[in-house]
Amino acid sequence: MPDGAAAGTHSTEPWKRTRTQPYSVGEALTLARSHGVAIPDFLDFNVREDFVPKDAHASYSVLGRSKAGSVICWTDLLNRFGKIPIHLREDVLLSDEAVVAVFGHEAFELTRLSELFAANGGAMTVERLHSLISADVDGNVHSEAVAFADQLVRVMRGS
Amino acid sequence: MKSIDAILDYYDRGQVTRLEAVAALARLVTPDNVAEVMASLPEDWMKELRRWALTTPAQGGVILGANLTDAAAKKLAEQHCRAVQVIRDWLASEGKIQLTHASNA
Repeated sequence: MPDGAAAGTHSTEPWKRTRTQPYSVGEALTLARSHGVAIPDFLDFNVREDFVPKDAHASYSVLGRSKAGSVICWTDLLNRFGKIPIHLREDVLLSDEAVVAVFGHEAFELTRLSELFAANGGAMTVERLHSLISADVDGNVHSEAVAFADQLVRVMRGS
Repeated sequence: MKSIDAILDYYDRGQVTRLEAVAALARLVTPDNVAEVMASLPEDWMKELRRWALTTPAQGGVILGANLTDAAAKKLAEQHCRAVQVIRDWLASEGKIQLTHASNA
């Protein structure tokens, strides 16, 4: 099992493999919700490994190089059905802990981002978005999501 | 990375956003296949990829993507740098744009 939403991110890793066959996304959503994850309607999880960076469990909005100072809108993060596609590695769906952690991480992060976009008129600079979701910035939304996901797993373990 | 048809199918099914699809299409481009890739794309996607190449910096800028490790971000940046240059050079060779300097916006 690779680590976290991105490699080496979560202190509760490695997550225990509990399945021989992967959960469906629907089953995983039910499991995550049963462990306290609030998943907003605007998220759409899919197993799309070719859109998940190496050493990551999940991703979204892998847009690559953008011009400094350019503005990105909340609507740029949406698919043609108005949802944010979250891409998963299939092996996330082989572990109860990974499901809860990864779905919890992404749901937390995107919920916070939606609030921040809304508070800023639905747009922000690419630098601002990068600073919010980068693993290299302490105390940002991404690191809050990591802490939230780890807490969910600790509760699952009763520790 | 999948083929053009696969990427466009992912978009149609809502599995990726339009910007993600364009970024993925760009990663398919090489000096050897740029004409083929551009010719294979539906017109609206060809225009979108062209716009991407003309507005994306070949150097610098910001690398966006959730859960990108440093190595993954570097690889993606390099792929996009190459794609920007290849597409701009192809557009120039086709007389579709004039470049005063091919390597930057």
